[in-house]
Amino acid sequence: MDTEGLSIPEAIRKLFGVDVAKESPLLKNKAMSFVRNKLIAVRKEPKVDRKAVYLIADQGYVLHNALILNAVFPNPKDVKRIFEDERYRTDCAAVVRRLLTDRGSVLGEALQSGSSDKMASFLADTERDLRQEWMPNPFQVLPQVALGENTTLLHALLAQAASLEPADSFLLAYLNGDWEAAQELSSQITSGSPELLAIKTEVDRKLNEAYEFSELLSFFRKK
Amino acid sequence: MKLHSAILGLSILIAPQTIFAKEGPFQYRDASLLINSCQEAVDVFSSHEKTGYLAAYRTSLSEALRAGYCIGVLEQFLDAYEGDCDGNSGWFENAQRIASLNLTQSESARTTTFEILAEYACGY
Repeated sequence: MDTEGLSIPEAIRKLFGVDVAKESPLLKNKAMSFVRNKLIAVRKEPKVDRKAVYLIADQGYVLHNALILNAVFPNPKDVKRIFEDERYRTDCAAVVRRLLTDRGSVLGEALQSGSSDKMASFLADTERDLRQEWMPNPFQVLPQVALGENTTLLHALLAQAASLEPADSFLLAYLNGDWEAAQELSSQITSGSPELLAIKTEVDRKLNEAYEFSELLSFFRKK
Repeated sequence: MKLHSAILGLSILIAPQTIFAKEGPFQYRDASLLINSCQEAVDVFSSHEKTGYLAAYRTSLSEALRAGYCIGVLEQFLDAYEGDCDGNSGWFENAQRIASLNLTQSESARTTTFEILAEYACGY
């Protein structure tokens, strides 16, 4: 994907399919802060009312990777440091792995595409060039766009972790064969994502089947 | 000489069918299906006694199907030969006795399903 000569909003539309003017001024501001702290190199052209900036060759990689990292690390200074400091980059790779893979909800992990893991591996491998390669993007929608101002991914993950329990323990109870608990918890779930409801339906179906089976066994043993 | 080649030809004709027949499900000259099925039946019901409705969790589809085969065969046998059977045990007790049989492969291949039923499914 060639982004040479594009303005920042044009490049973001090309890389992430996001129209920053309409959907996320926040994402544009974040991208501009990478221009200001000189992580992203640009060519400046004086215009009538304000200066316009255009990406120079290969800066699409930097913009792409910086915005993905920014989803996890809100401070542009930290993102820049990841590009420049290998040790720090390795530490951050561990954070990404913990946040996006190890600590995810059971449900989340089961549904995850595996790209979070790929992102963490890419980041951990300092042979991979953040300025010359596309880092795997684990986000369907960049959190900056989905969550908006004031909510970093870190906060969202913390909130998610704090509120995980019902769905998770319901699934865990079921997988552990604790069907009594699974049933109890399943009955508390009244809304949720289609995936969660699909799992709930499946668990309920299994439980009904178990009761039917049990009744049939009793029926056969009746003298 | 003629007889010899005739037998040879016959055995060539029969051989593939014998192999096929060996793989068929219901070998009434092989008691192992009934014995295995009754073992599954006893297992399923003892699991049901111990764990209630969780028996479904511990029973696979094929175990349940085998158990059903055992129950059906024993129950129908009891019904059909009621007049000739003097015991009064139900299918489950009979299944327990058949399940505890310990036949070797060649023994069960020489024993018919009917022989097992006549001996063990007729009540005490």
